[in-house]
Amino acid sequence: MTLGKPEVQTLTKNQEIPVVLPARRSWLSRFAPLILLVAVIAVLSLFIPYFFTLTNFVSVLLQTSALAVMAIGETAVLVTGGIDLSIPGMMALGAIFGAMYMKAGGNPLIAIFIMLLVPSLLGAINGLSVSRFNMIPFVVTLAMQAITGGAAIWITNQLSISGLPQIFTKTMLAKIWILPVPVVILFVVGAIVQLFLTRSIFGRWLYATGTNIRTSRISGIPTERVLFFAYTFSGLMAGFAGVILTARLASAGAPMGKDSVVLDIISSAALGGVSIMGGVGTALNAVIGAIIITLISNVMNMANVSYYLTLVVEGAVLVVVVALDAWRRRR
Amino acid sequence: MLSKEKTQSPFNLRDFLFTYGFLIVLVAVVIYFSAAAPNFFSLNTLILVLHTAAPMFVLASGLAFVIMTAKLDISVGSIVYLASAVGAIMISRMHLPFPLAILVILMVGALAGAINGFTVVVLKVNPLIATLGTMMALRGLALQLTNSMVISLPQNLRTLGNVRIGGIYVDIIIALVVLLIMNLVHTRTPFGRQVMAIGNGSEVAERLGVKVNWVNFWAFVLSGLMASASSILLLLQLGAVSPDAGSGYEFSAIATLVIGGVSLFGGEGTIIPGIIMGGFTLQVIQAGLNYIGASVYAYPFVRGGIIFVAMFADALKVKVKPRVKMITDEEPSLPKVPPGNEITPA
Amino acid sequence: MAEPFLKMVDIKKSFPGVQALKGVSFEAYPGQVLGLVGANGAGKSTLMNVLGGVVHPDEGQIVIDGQLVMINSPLDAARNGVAFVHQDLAMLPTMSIADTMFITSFPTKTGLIDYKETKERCVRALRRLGFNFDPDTKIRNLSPGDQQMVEIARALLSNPRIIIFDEPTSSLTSREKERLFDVIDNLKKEGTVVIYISHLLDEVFKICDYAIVLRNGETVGGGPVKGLTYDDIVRLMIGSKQINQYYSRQSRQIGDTVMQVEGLRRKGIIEEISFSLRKGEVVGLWGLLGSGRTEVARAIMGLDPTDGGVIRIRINGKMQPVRPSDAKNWIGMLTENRREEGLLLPMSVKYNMSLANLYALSGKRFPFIDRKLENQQVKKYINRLEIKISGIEQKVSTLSGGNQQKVIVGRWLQKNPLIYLMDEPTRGLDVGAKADIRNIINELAESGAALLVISSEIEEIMSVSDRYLVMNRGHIVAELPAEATKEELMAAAAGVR
Repeated sequence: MTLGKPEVQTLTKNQEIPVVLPARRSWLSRFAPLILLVAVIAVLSLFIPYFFTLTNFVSVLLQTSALAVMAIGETAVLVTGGIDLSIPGMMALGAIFGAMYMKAGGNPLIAIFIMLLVPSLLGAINGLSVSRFNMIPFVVTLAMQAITGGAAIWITNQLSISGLPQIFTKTMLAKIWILPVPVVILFVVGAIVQLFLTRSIFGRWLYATGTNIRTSRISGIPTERVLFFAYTFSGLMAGFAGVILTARLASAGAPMGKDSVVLDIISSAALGGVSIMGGVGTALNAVIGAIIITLISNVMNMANVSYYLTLVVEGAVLVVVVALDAWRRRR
Repeated sequence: MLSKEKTQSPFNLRDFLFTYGFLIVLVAVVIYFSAAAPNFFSLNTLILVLHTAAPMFVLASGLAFVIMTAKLDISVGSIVYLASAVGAIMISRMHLPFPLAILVILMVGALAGAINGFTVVVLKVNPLIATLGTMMALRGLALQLTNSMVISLPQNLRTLGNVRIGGIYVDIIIALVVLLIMNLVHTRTPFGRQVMAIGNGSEVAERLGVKVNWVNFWAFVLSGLMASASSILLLLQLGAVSPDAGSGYEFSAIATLVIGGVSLFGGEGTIIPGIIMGGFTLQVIQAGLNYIGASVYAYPFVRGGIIFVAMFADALKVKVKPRVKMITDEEPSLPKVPPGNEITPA
Repeated sequence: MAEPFLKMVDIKKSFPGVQALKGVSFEAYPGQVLGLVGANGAGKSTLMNVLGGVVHPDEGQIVIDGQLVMINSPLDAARNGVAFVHQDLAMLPTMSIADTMFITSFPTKTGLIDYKETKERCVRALRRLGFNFDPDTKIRNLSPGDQQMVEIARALLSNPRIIIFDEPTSSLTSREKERLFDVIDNLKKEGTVVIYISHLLDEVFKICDYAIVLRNGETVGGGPVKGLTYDDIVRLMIGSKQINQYYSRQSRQIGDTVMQVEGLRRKGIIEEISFSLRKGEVVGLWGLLGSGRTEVARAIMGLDPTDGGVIRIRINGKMQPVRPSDAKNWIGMLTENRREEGLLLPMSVKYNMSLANLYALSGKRFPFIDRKLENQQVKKYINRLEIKISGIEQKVSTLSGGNQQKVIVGRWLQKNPLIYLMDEPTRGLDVGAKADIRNIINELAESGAALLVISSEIEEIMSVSDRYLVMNRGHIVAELPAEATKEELMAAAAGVR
């Protein structure tokens, strides 16, 4: 597909200048994740009688909801050209504080607020480090994950906090029409974020910053604020995921903040079409990717493939997807 | 006419802090813990601390090479698990001789490192993502092999891990020897020097004729190899391999290196005394926490905090480091068009 | 000296869109310093890149010591005894001098580096230039001038017979320059061929025995330096037949001052920059490579840090001091590297053009963008600037340079800033696009904007400027009126009084 050649040529054999052009999204690459999703659904429907039913779809969405929300948060950060490795830890800590508050007799509504506030503040710390202090995103968030993961273990002594007030668990798992509350949260959040990313000024700022931060700055975009916001937002999304997960598990504990969750989040984003290098990706991408990941692990489960091998496969898939993205950008 | 200036390397406060900053911290830490727990500051404690830290010394000495090229390898913890799992299985289940098991363990590590190297250098995948993928995949593989169970070593090997010679644990000596060798490779081989050169700047190194891809690849192999070597020491010490082996190791290793002066931005740092100081400091803090009766779970949190502070300090150091600025041409900075090749009209 | 040691014969080289070298020939003799002089884009660097194996010529021959040689890579060049000291040094800041010099050529003993030998060789190499540096000194503790000495020492390691210096004095103190000249003197005595690329004529006259002048890819003259004057060289650089070329332009209505810069400085880069811009005026900031022009623009926009100075902009009728990081609210800047800092390459024309004006484009629908309004605005400016595209969704990476530049102009036009800073606005454009951009500049001035145009092409800057500010080595050295001739401009830029 040639729309014309870019101006900077590869000159002579001795002067191969690798021009890393940000990806040109051809039709195929844009819809690949969706096609993949449809393919997976089609295959599964063939082999599993009850798969193609509304109930099952809703159940899959419920299962995916927490991961999808986290992937949406990660997407915002990836779009700006950074990365957030601390989402599970932030989520766990927020959930734990909220759960502890509820157990101590606090109002569930306030508990939810805590579950959202704490990760947002932690995300803000990430954001400040990256935007103001120019620290490297993966280093900062790696450290944050270490701290929050460790703190979660420490505070809870490795014991999950259960026995949460019924009003919390019951409400969170209730259904609006046929959709459980977490799925509704996912839809609402997803729709709002998608709208904002694709249609608002701020969304433009995010994509511009991730595509070329220098051009953005010269054009008057407040890139520092943009970066700060992206990481704080990621924290907020971690918070939402924490609320959802706590409700579904009816408990909050340190295992929620395990490092392996990070791989799931990044794989979801990458598979869904979000580019690790920045400037590309929407909330819809994140959700599609999360669904695909969930379905694949369900499949592995049902085919009695050990959980461990799924890890191997996931690791390999992530690498392949990112390699392809990098390769495409170099052409 | 001929200038006779002799420029001596001036005493530089910044360079001093770079290398010895955390030594000051270490001293402070030791003082604190000695005050808090009377038996802390004794020879016995010291030896025990070194004994526990020995595997980490070995691990960090390999990872250092990757970090010095300004890249990351976060799969080392999983390599430790996989390598020791393979070894343990070979010994206890397949009853193969110990020396053979050691050989296979080392090969596993080197192979894992080679996979990382391939993914980063040939497939040109971001090192973080590449080693993230390996981290998970290798752990999954190891869990599969062990079925997530603990595998113990036979009795005779278990005692081997805690052998002392003249009061000093053998593995401390082994670790020291490894560190000496790694230090030699770092400071006295072209490979080691070129690793540092790449950390100063890949493009500059390339211009100077360094085979950047080759060096990067072997740095990853070395990291994997040392990870598996450290797993041998760990395996012997613990006498068994359990499903959470090596988990969090990458954090401790990175903390060790950063504390010891190896910058994550590449091109800085030493194996000796850097890793010794970094590993020792970290281990002292853990031991100290133990002694004052802090909860076992406090340690990951403290460690995370240390990493954060260490990385923050690292980032600040880089800001202060003066980059050479020349009043040069106004050519675009990237992609680099060599002077004369701009398209200008006739 | 009878035989030339180096002969380059009829070297031709073209790049897409331009012929950089049209058949250049020269000879160089051992023990002589040959100066290669010319304005930007004349072809000096390309010529040396051919000799250095960085670029492959289309035609032509290189003869070294009577033998025809093929130089296809820097390695070939080194093997044939050619060493190139580039303008940007290849340094390893955290490593020692010894390491930096021998990084790919350590002497080894049983696989390990023999540091004793390495240091000895290092000391010897440095001593050859008259220095006693401790080989363990870290590069970052050396001044740029000292680092250059290390670079030269490294270049000399291979005992080259030919050594090329490309604009070597751009960041040297005068003491360090003297030192460099001493070194070159010694090289002469050893019989090495030295080629010295520079646009600074006083240096050329001081150090070179022979000079050749390039213009537009051809040798236009030269000879023994003793027989030449400054004026001769300046004329050759410009081209006498073009001296009286006249660019028609209406004289403009110039209004009040809209921007004042006082004492802007950045240590080691620019010093005491003061000037003002008035409404409706185009000021040409002119100078040769390395004079600091781009740095001035970047400093004003807050893209680079500054060590001092005041910027005042007319806001609400009054001249008010403004912080560099805020200055971009009133200034539209076209950077010199549009691909890296001017455009979002994978994004559409529409996206790129609305980038600076998003608030206005949201209108009533804030915070969302009013798509219809956006499309309308974008199309309006596309028509006005006559940008040739197949549709507003076209990716800017596929546009020609001229159209890309227009997109960036269009981005700012929407915002209608008081002031425009344009850095090399026509670099890399074909003749038609250049004319378009020139017209746009004139139109902008006529509609009341104040423009600072930076260019290294003299015809360019002469065709749009109402007055000139000439820079050299980080200072503004002259202010010339619109009537200044090419000669005067060139002389001022080359540091000739």
